[in-house]
Amino acid sequence: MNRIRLLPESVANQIAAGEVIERPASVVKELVENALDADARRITVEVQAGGRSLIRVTDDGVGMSRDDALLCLERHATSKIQRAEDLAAITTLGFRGEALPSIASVSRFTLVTRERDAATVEATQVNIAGGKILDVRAASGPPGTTVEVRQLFFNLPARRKFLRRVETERAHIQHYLLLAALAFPEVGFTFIHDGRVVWQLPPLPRAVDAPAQRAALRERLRALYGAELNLLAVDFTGELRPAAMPDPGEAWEEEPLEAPAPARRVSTLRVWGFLGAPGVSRATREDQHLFVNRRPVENRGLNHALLEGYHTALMKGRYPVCCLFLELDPAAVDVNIHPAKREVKFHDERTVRSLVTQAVRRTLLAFHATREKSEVGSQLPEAGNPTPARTDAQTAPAAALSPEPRPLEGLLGPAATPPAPSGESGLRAPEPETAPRNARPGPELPPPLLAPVAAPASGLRHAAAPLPPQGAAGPGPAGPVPLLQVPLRLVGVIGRLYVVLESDRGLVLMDQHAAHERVLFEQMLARLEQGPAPCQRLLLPETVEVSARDAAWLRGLLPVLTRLGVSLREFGERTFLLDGLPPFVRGGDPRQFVLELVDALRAAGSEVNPLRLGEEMVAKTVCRHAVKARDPLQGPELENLLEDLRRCAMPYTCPHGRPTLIEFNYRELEKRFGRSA
Amino acid sequence: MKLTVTKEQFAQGLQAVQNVIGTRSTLPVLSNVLLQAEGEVLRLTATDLDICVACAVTAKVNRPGATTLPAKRLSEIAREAATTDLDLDVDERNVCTLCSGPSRFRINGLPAEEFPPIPVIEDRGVIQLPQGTLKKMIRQTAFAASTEESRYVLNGLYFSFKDHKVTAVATDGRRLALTEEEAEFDGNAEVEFIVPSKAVAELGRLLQEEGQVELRYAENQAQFTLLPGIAGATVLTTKLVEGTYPNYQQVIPRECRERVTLSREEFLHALRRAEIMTSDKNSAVKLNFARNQLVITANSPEVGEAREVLSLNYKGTEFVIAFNPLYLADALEALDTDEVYFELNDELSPGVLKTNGPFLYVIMPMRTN
Repeated sequence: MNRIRLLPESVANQIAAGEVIERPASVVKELVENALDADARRITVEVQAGGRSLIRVTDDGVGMSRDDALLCLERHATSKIQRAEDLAAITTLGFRGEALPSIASVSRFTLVTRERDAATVEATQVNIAGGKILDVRAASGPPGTTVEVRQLFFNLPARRKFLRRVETERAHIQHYLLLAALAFPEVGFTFIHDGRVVWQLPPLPRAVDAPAQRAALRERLRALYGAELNLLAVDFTGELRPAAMPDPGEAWEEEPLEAPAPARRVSTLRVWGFLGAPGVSRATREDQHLFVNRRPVENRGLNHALLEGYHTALMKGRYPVCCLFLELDPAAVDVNIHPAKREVKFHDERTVRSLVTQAVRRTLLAFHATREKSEVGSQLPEAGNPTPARTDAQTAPAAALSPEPRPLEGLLGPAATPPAPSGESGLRAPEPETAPRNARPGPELPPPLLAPVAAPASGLRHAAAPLPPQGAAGPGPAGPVPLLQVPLRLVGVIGRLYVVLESDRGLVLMDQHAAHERVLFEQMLARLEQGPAPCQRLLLPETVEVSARDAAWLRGLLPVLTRLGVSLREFGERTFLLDGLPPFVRGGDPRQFVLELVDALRAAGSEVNPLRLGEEMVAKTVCRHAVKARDPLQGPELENLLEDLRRCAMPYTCPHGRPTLIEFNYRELEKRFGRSA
Repeated sequence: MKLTVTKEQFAQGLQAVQNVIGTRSTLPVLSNVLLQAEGEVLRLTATDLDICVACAVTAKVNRPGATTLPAKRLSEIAREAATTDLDLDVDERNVCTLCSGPSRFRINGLPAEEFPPIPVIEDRGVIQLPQGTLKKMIRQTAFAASTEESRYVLNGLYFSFKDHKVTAVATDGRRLALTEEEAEFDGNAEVEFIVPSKAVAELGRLLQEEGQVELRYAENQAQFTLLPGIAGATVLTTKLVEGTYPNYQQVIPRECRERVTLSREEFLHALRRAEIMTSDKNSAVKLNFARNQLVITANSPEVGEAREVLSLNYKGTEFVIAFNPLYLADALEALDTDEVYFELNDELSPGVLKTNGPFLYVIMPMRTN
């Protein structure tokens, strides 16, 4: 007896719906993505009862002819790709051709569409219930497409049961729309829930260049979040490794994708958007929005890269606030991983991670760039043409920048250790030392001089890489001026802890302990950083056993570890022998130390910061040596402290991520005193 | 309980026991000292539940009995008392009336029954050592013990009794100190145990140059009975560190390429001076052995450098080895001989410091670049 049979199409569609359509928000996501792919200018999303009873998405996109309208309801029918090769380089948000039939199979579905550019003014209406076409008829309607989804999951009671409360479902929908609205500022979004307009976001002019893009995004952020957020602009371009040489460490992570691409062309990765200034953070990843080629994604690697970029500027357990766009060759990223396309895979994840880390770190560092640099920045009157100013900043750095930043040079490097911009100088994994030093203004500037030659030609893309702070500073008109670049006048000290300062913008409070901690921390790291670390040999070597996966990874790292002063040798398949530690690593179990190190290195990606090992110790020591809360300090001491803080690379937080400075601007004070409405 | 005791005896007794009392105890009776009067003797006992120290002083006992009184206050009174004799009278509610000449104190105590029972060690054999010998062994090894709490096995002094020899070893994983002495003990029992560092420190303080110490041990406890004591034995009982001590034998190099004789004091002071120029970044000093001379250098880029030259009798090959100067100085300081022998192989192998006596100190070098 035959027991295997083919399922009817309607059942197949319901199964597919199970993967793609999880909840009303998934419907909204699929429909809005279709609208965006259809080149819509305005999208209206109307939802009732959290999407249970009605979801209506209306766009003014290209629309469909009658035949298309019918065909689009077939599975795997799509206009977005044609051949298998297209899968390798997807430029649209959707491509699977599954969304509409899936949605139609689990709801009462109405599609009204009219071709934008067709001669006829007749629209087509298709009515479907549970996957069965009820009727197809001519209708009237504006150009574009309207999809109405009523009674979602009416034929799948099990699914319906899993729906949450109206508010929860609505929050999910709204969250997706927020992401879509951020990714597409040039599209107007209207969100109506239960007849009430929640959002009405006007379309912003389509951005033609980077500054306009940033301005549009900032405008969108303002519209969505209301109040002015303390955000820093990011714009950073780096090169992805062209070679397919699989690195030993992550080979296991990306085997199949890496193998058949021996001659991939060089592609660039651009990271742009906004991120929270030091001290701006949240307890969850809620406001951490990442987009890859305008697609909102979740990626653990990127999360880590972000945290790594912030590093000491963030308290433990806090997460950055950001809205970052990664733009790269669609061929270098695979979105065909997750049916709902929430996850993506990078072919060269390691480099992407390190570039994101660099972008974040540079932006944070640039936030406290020297005054000269901000002047260069302000010379950019119209944001439209950044090239000349950039070239300017590069060719004449010695003249413009030499007087002040001298002391900074020593200090800037260590704490931040911006790794090499792999853009111009290194195509391999970052080499922490050489390039950024050269890129910084100094007496001799050999390689970067090449950059300006390239810069005018290729504009932003190339200039951004070798010019760390400037490129990332994004001197957009809306960027906040760093607090420490404003002249501060010492008023006094309260509670023998908080130093009261006055700026031209209002009141500034400085935590003397936190500030001193930061200063000492950077000085100490600077001291530690010079040269490879010594290694105290152990009398009683310890065996450390790690998992097979970690073992392969650790094996590749042994030379790096040796340079860091950790002497680890292979001792069997999964066992290592630890027979030396850097002298500043004290206390604790050496074995524990290695295991923690493995975890930390894994989290930090390939980018091993040699100081990371000692950092905790340094932070602790520093805490002990820093002036305490009740230590009375005199005027000159405080001024010197402030001056030292100004010279720090990351002055706005202490090594534990607590803020060193708090600002109350006049507007805030006026509000408190009821002087302004 | 009613008795008269001299100020001197009382202070001495309290001095001996009160050190183990922790400053922050959640059990009030642990801040007290147990007083037991009987015959012509007043016994004082203090404990922190890990270590228990008891001693006896002479007293004129009018009415025997027992109580506990706050140790700290008692010892302050004993120190400040105006007359040589102290009269203690404790009533049944454990309130002590202490009179000394013009002064009169009423001190609230706690019943003796609340005091933790004094550990009893079943007699498995006694090991006898001169107090001076044990004291010296402790002095020459205890400093090398680890203070890292995560490696608790190393947080103490390892004792091994075997073949009529007692061996004491301490290590923190970077250096190791070892001494050996002849000892008499009945039977040919082989014993080994680890005495926690706090007990070792306490013992080092209590031990005198004269007299004998009797060592008894059980599964997880050891007892050191110091004779003659003040007016009878002073007894320290301690819990032992559980766990297996690492096999220290295997880290002791069996042979050496170079053996250098150094003047201990000279070497120590040169190291001390060189250490001034070390820093967090570079905590090593380099020992450069050349023909008939040893050059010690310390170099920290941001601080500066130091250079010390010692002349010595050296005919071997020229080589450089780096050490943490504190580790070397610790050992040199604990010794009292005029000369030490430094045995070395190459710049990555452990160095061994020896004396003419039964002392051995293994120290791991540092790798610098």
